[in-house]
Amino acid sequence: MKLNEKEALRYLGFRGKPADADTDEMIREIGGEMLRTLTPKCVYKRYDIKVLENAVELDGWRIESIKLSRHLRGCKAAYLFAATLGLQADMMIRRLSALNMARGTVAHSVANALIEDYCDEMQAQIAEKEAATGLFLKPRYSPGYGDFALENQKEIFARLECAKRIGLTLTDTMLMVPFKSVTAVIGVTDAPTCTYVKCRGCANTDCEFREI
Amino acid sequence: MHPVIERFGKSVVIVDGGMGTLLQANGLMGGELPELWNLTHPEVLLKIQSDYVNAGCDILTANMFGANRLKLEKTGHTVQEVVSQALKLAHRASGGKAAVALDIGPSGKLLKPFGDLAFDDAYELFKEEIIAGRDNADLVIIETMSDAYEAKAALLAAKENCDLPVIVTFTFDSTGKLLTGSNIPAALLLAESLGADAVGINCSLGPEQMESFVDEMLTLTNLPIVINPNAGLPVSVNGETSYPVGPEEFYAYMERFAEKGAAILGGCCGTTPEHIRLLAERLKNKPVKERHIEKKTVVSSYTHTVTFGARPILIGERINPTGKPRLKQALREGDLEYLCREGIAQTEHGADILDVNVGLPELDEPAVMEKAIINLQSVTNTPLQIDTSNVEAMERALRIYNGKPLVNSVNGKEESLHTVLPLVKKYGAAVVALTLDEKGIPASAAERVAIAEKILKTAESYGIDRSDVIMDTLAMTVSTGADNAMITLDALDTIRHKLGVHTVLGVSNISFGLPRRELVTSTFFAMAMQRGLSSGIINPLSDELMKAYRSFCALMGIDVGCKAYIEAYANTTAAPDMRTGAAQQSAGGGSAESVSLHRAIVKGLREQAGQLTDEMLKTTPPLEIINGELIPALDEVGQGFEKNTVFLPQLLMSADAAKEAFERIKQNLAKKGIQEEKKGTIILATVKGDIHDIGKNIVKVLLENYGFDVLDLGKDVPPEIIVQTAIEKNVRLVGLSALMTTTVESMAETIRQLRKAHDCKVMVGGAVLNPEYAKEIGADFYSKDAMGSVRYAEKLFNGEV
Repeated sequence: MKLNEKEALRYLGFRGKPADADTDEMIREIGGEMLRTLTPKCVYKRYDIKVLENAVELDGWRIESIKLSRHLRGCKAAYLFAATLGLQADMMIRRLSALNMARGTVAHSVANALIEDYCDEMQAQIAEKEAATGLFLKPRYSPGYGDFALENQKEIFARLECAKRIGLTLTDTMLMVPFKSVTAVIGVTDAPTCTYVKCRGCANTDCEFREI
Repeated sequence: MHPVIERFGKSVVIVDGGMGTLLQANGLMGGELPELWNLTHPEVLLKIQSDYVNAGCDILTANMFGANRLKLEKTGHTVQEVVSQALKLAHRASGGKAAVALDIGPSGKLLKPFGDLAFDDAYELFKEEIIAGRDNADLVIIETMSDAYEAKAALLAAKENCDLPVIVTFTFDSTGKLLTGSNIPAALLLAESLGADAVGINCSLGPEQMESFVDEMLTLTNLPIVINPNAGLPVSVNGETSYPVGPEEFYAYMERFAEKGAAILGGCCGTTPEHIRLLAERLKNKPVKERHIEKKTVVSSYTHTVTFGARPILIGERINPTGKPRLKQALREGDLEYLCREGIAQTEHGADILDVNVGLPELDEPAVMEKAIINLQSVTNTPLQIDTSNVEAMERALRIYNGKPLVNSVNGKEESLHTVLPLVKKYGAAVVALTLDEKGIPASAAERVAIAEKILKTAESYGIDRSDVIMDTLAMTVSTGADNAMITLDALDTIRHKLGVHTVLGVSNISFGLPRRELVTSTFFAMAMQRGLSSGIINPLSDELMKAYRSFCALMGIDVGCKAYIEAYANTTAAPDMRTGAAQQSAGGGSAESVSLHRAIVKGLREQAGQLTDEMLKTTPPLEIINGELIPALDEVGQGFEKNTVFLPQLLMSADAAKEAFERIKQNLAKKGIQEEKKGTIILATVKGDIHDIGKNIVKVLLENYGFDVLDLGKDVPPEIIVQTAIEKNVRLVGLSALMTTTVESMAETIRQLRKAHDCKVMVGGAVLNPEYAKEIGADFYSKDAMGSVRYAEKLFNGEV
């Protein structure tokens, strides 16, 4: 896991503009502490899937989502994937926020950038395995994107045993705790290229955090 | 008692192995609850469990790992039904050969304050399982615990609702930590202090990865050690998960563990009756190697332990309202953030433990104490010392404390002994004992020692080990009695060296009534450490005391190579600032004099803003500082933010600097007993079901800076509480935050309930909201960022909306 400072700045709303020295310093300092102390964890499992017109079938579970089925078109298999920076990240953010909101907010953004990078790294490892048999991975698609409802988290959590394996839990309202966590479906395809980019697939074109 | 239990710690006891992995091999689907197979596939359960009994296990675990109300919800089955059936099948399989264990796994939820399950609710879940099975089980196994706090809830539930022996096993990751961050000593200490009969490790790792942890566990406690590894780390073969360590290889490790002194051996995921058969055939009934671990005085937080003995322990005294008007005000206003900042500051200055005293006559102390403990434990992992004479507050705090607590205090009075000590025993705490009794504080060292002896005797009669008692021989002000210091120190010396008990003093009492108190206090502190003081209740922000402490540690050879001393004082010349203990901050450049308060705030220079405010307060009325410096500076930054020339971190740095300035003004007013004037009262809350509070907290900081009185109701706040508070305080503006689509619905519900009951405006914000959506759910204003809410509030209270 490494820190992509530009990503952290994007989460802080800099929209591609350069940061001031204080913010840069805070990002590096807090990023350094997080990289030293956090032990991110992930769990994933490969399933055969059937992509239908408006839904996807996976391990006896029918996922009703037009967007997801479009995203997974042509895939015969997919991974369920979950990763978390762990509760220490939440604790550190709380501690920093209690003393100083600026540092707390930077810590949030740094943690966001870290979990994304960690997921990318883990996905790259999976991709390497798949490449051995000539297969490729699609980008991660998470509950909450488009019409892939958050309620689907329950099914993912039950299948991956997220609480037991990596200490990732769900609230009654489908929020993940620890906060800095990601769940996703990752399609396995035999097509080598993929044009899908996360922000481009989103309807909210006015979003402050949109990737430029 | 089942005969197997009597063998605990004497001869090796064998537990059964994996269940879930075998059920999967029999067709259990992903996402399906294994516990329901008790009802749907009893023959499969009987077969597997009979195989384990025939393999020779002494303990058979009922298939009820997740049989709690949360997991069984919507299955159409009750906890009673599933638990009864699980135990019935286990008994049938056992045929009287193996002891049957009522099995408690984790709830699957994270506990508050990080997750959404309250400690008391976790307790209720486990209690229900225990009551459902207690009459049909020989023991309780609490297992696969990756959160020590949850293990505490389960252990309390077991201890309070049955008389069965209890085994507790934790799941550590490859770094030897629980998923919630506890290290092995902290987890084991918690289970032991609450009365577990055996402790250990299970799941997640194979025997190879557990080996070093086994060694560590064997040095930590005299309790029988339980080792239930997986059959190695899972590997994925053709999309199927499998565990690679076969019975012989597994046995080779387990044999070593037994030789080292482990007492109860079994398996977890991936182990089979064959694995257990080898253990039973070759290890069962072998004598357990004797170990003698010396009892130490240890307390803990949820992550780590603090052990008395190696060096004097620093207990931060600042969370105590006596003589602190600003803290009193914070407690009255329910401003726990202030308390948290005091806690963190002390920790950063070297406190090992934080004393927590929230006693004010007009407050509901049990309620405030509970909130204080929970809030402090959410921002610091420093162990806490529960300081109260209110028995209800003490018990409440002991119950919800995450770790092994320290209580301040019991004394030699009969009433105190017989109310406090039972609580100390029940909750496995350590306790500070004051050497005074019905006749007061004795004027001689010998009499104080006599009281100490009496307290120890009574503690031991309650089953409290003397290592859990820390004696306070009471520092009395030296200005009223020339012998006072010597009496205290003589008693201390005798207690530490003749009775062999650790000691503590509220050091600063010694100098009461004297000028430049810290001179006397720090010298006394050094003298006391020399005579055997194990821990001092002190102000770690006092440089004089810390100088004495660090010098003492260097001189006594405790601070090897004077490392800590050099780290603290290298490159310092003048006395550092008294309040913060830090040298004058140079961040941002320039000395305090060269920058105006206005500039300090615009530049986000927090320390300087504080110092400059203190300076200005000597000559300028507070209101003038606020209107002449603070507000214009904040406006300048706020406008920059709105024009996209200033970004969020800079806005917040300025806000933090302004907050520091306001803090100094508040302290100044509190000292004079003056109430500050507020522009208006605003409720802020993150709605029910939502626990993301960063947006709300940012808005809060800014609104407060602009002079609004913010009632922060926190996160996950039910609509009823918001409505009730709005009515009670006659609030004109309510700000609500929700992050997810799933929680916007409860925002809508809150607005509906507010509309019915109270006339006020509602502003909303959150990642998934936009102006249209906000309108749709009935909000008056959608704030796209924190400044937006400030502008709206100003308009509203200026009568422009």
